[in-house]
Amino acid sequence: MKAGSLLPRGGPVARSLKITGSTHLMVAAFSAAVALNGAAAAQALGAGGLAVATAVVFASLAACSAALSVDILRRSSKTVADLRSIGASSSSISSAIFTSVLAFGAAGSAVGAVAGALLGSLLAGPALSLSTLYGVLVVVVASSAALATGTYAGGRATWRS
Amino acid sequence: MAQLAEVRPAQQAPGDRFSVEVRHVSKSYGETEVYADLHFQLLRGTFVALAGPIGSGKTTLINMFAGIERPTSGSVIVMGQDITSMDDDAAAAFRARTIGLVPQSQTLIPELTAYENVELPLRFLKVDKDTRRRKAEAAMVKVGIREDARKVVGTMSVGERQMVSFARALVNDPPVLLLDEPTEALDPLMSEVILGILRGDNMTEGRTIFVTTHDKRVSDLARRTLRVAKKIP
Repeated sequence: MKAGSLLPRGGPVARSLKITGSTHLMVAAFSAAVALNGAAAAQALGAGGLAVATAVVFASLAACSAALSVDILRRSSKTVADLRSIGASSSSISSAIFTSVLAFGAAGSAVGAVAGALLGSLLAGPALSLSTLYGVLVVVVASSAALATGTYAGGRATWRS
Repeated sequence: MAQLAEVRPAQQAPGDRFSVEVRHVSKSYGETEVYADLHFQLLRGTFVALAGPIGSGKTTLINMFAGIERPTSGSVIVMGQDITSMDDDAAAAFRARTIGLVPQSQTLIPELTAYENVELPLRFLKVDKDTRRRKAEAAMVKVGIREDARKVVGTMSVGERQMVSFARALVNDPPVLLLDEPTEALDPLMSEVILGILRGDNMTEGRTIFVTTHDKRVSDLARRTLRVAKKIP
């Protein structure tokens, strides 16, 4: 069984753009890894660490999702033209990418942030507390915002070009 | 530069309105002029064939009717709307509502099933799921491919794909149907099936059909035949 088949496929428009279970797995895994590192650093380093970690998480995931969005639209340029010929708007195509990246990226980052907080607690010693929960929440929100911003920006740049 | 000539003129009926109006359209690709000051109309509910050699600009004309390509100057009015003045998204939405397109090149999505391909235009029109299913099944029944609904298009033959293209073009019951060389690359049996659909559709549903072809059997079905006079250099 392919690793990508562990995650569900997208709708017809997403599959037309060759967004598969593997794409979802990649987005989730990358988001989880970034969030794990961010949450672990935040847990270990306190408030200052949380600010730096959030910035790094945001920048990394925004850049990644923008690049992915551009890549999907460019490598599927014929499919995009075919979909346009039967009535697809730029927003309906972009939203298929947006939904996939945001849904699986946010899920991955949530798992990663929780794991990161636990790891940070193990490494740095402090017990899990309300601030841990706060750190996890900040990382997950920052990740989701980054994924949404990056996907939107990548799509917009590609449509304009 | 290509020029159009009337081979079999339309019989103008008073009071009929036009489904497509080509108003002083010129089209160039760089230095190559494809059409200059093209001006003609298609009556609603007629079957019009455009004949001519390969590379004479027939597909360019169909693409301008569909708003996929824009003329260098002039305008194309489809069902009373100037499609050339619409932005890309507006033209795409208008196409989904108004035009059924069977292009010459393969534009089906090979990863999707026949059913998913047929219902795709309805998704872009935000049609609800039950209506999508009903309309997609009706279109597939109309062209005789209901039993192929679950087949993945990438595994289908050229002829089967052409039938799926037809079903997709008909799914929203468009008033204008544009067909670009619909029988090209098909075996005689499949061509006959296509011809049968064209006969029945034009007779029973009164939509405007514009078809580019160099298949005499197709142009013989038309009430009006235009010919592109020469190949573009």
